[in-house]
Amino acid sequence: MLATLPTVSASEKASLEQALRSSVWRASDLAVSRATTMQSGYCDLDKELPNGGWPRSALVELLVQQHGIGEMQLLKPMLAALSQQQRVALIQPPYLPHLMTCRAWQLNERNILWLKPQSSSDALWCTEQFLKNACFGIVILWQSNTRPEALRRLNLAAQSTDTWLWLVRPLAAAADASPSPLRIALRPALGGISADIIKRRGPHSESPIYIPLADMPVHQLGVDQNEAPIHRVHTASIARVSTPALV
Amino acid sequence: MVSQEAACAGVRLGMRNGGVLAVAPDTGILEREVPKEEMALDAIATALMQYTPEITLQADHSLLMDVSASLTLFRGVRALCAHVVRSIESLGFTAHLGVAPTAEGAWLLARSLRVKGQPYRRRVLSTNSLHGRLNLLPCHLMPAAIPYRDWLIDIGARRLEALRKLPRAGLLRRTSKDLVAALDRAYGESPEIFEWINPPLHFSARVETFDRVEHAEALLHGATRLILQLVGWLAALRQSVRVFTLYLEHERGRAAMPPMELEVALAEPVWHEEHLIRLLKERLGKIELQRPVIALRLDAVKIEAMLPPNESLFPEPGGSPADYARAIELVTARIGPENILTPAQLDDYRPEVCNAWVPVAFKPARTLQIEALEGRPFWLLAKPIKLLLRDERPFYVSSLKILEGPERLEAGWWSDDTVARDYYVAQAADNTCYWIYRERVPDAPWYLHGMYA
Repeated sequence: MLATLPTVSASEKASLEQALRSSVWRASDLAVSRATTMQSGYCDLDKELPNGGWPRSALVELLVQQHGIGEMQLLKPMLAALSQQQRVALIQPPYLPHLMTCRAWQLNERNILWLKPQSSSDALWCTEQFLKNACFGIVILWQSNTRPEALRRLNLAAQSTDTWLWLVRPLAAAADASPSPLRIALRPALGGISADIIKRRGPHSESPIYIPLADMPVHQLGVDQNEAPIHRVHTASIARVSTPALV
Repeated sequence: MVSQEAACAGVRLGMRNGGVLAVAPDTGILEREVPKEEMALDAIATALMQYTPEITLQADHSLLMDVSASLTLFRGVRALCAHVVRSIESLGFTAHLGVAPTAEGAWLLARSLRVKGQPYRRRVLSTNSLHGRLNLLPCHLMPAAIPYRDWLIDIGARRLEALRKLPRAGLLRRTSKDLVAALDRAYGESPEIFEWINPPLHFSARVETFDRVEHAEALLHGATRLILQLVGWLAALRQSVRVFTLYLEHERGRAAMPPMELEVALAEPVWHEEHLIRLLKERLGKIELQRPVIALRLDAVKIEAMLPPNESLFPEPGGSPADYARAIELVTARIGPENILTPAQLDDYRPEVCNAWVPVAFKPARTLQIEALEGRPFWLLAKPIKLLLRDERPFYVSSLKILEGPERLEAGWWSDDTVARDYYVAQAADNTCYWIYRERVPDAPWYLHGMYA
C-alpha cells in the first residue's frame, strides 16, 4: 500500500492537495465556513480573523481596557461602508458620539441612530428588537455587566438576522465564559490599537496584533518630520510595530 | 346551563333554586344576564370580521360566517378554523365550530353532541358527506321540531333521515312550515338568505375586567380583547388605524376619577394585531395606576383607508421603511422618544453646540453639507471634566503629554455662552489619547473634553 505512494508525481500530488484543502480542515488553519464576513479594512487583523473579516449574524465581543482607546476607529471602515446604505444603531454608548468625527470619517449621518435607554435591560431589549426587525446593518451595544443568559439570547438573536453586531464590554469580562464566536481584547497602543483575539474559530491566537490606526493623533504627527520631538515620537511608533507583544 | 360537576351531583335542567340547593347544597347559582351575553356575542362577531365580512347572529347564541371567499386567503378550512378558534379563545370564550356547505347544516353540526358508536365530525365539505352526517342527527336538534318531539318519537322518526323519508305533504299538514323549510335549507334544497351584520362607522368597545386591577400590566389581557375587536372592525371596513385611545375607567363612588386616557399615535397606519398589542404592552408597562381599574374602553380616533403593501420583487437587505418605522415606534414606546436620537445639523464651532442630536420623531431640516473638521475625537464628554495639575502638567489617570495643539476655538460671542478655548491633543502614559482644552484666561484649569476612540 505504502509503496504506491512515491509513484505519485509531484504535479499530481499538488493537485491532490489542492482538492483536499477545500474539504479537509487542518487544526493549524483558521476555520473556513460559509459565514458571510466583511473585510475589516486592516490587513493584519483580517489575516487573523476566520474567513478574513468581521462575521455577520454573530455576536462579536470587543473587550476594551477602557473606553476611547481606538475601538471605534477599528470599526471605522465597516461603518463608513455600510452606513451609506444601511442603518447604524449605537445603543447605550458611554459618551456622546461626536458628529464632526462621523462627518470626517465619511459616515452617512442620516443613517445613524443613537439610543440611550435608562437601564441595561432596556438596552438589551432594544438590541433584540432591532435584530429581530432586521432594519439595521450595524448594531453596536455597550454594556458593563451582562449576564450569560443575556449574551446567549443576543447571540441567538444575531444568528437569525443579517446584521453585524458588536458588544463592547470591559476587559474584566474576558475571564467569563461567553457564547460569542469571536472575542477580541483591545488595549491602547501608540498610534494604533493592540488586539488580542481571545476566542475565535480556529487555533489559539499566540500574540496580540498591533493595528495602526490612521486617525490616532500620534500617527498624524509621525508623518510630519520637521521637528525634533515629533521625530522621536515617530521612531517610537516604529519600534512599537516591531514588538507588539510588549504592549 | 349545568356544569358537569353539578350534573353528577344530581342537578338537572328545569329545577327550581330550592330544589337545586336541596340536592347539592354547594352549588353556585348564577343569574343569567342577557345584555352581557349580547355584548359578548357582539364582541366575538366584531373580532371575527377579520376573517369574513359576511357574518350574522343566529338563534341559540350562534354566529354564522360565510367563509367561501376567505378559504384561499387563509389557506384552507383547517387553518381558518384554527384561526377562528384562537381568536375566540383570546377573547376569553369557547366555541363549538361546525363547517358545512349549507349554513343550516353547519349550525346543526355545531350543535350536535358526541354519541357513542358513531363517527363524530363537525366539519364536512361535500354535500354528500353532509347528507350522511345530517341523516344521523336526532330530530330535536332543530328548534322547529321540538313541539312535535313526542309525536315524532312515537312514529319512529328519531333521526333526520327518517324525518326526511316521511311524505312531504303529510309532514307539512301535521307539523309546521318552518320545520320543512329548515330541513330543506339544511340539506341544501332551498336557498338561504341572511342579513349580514353592518359594522358601525365608529369604533368604540368596552370590556370590564374580572377584578379590580391595580397593576397596569395586568390590563393587557383586557386590552388584547379590545384590540382583537378593533382589528376585526378595521378588516371589515378595509381601514387602518392611525390614532386610538384606551380609556382606563376607575371605580365610581365618592372618590370617582375621570378615566385615564392613553392615546397611542402610530407613525404608519396599521391593521395588524401583533404590532398593536406589543405597542400597547410597552405603553401599559410604563404607566402607574393611581386607582384600581374596573373597565377598559377603546376608541379608534383616526382611521385611514387600508393601503396594500407595496412589495418589491427582491427584498431589500435593510428591511422595508414600514418595518423600520414599526421598530422605532416599538422602542419609543418603551424607552421614550427623548432617548432615540438622530443627528441634527448645526453650523457652529463649539463642539457641544455643533454635536446636536434630536429625537428621531422630530425630523431635522436638511441643510447643506457642513464642513468636516479632521482630528476630532469620536467620544465627547457630556460635561468636561476638570483636570488636576501635577508637575505643571494636566493629570488624568497618568500625567498627560501634549502632542498637538493648540487649536483655537472662539465662538458664541453673540450670546451669553462665549467660548474661547485652546484645544490640545494629549497622550497618557498608556498611549490613550485625549482631547483637552484650556480657557483663554490666565491660570485657567485644564478640562478633558473628548477621547480618541
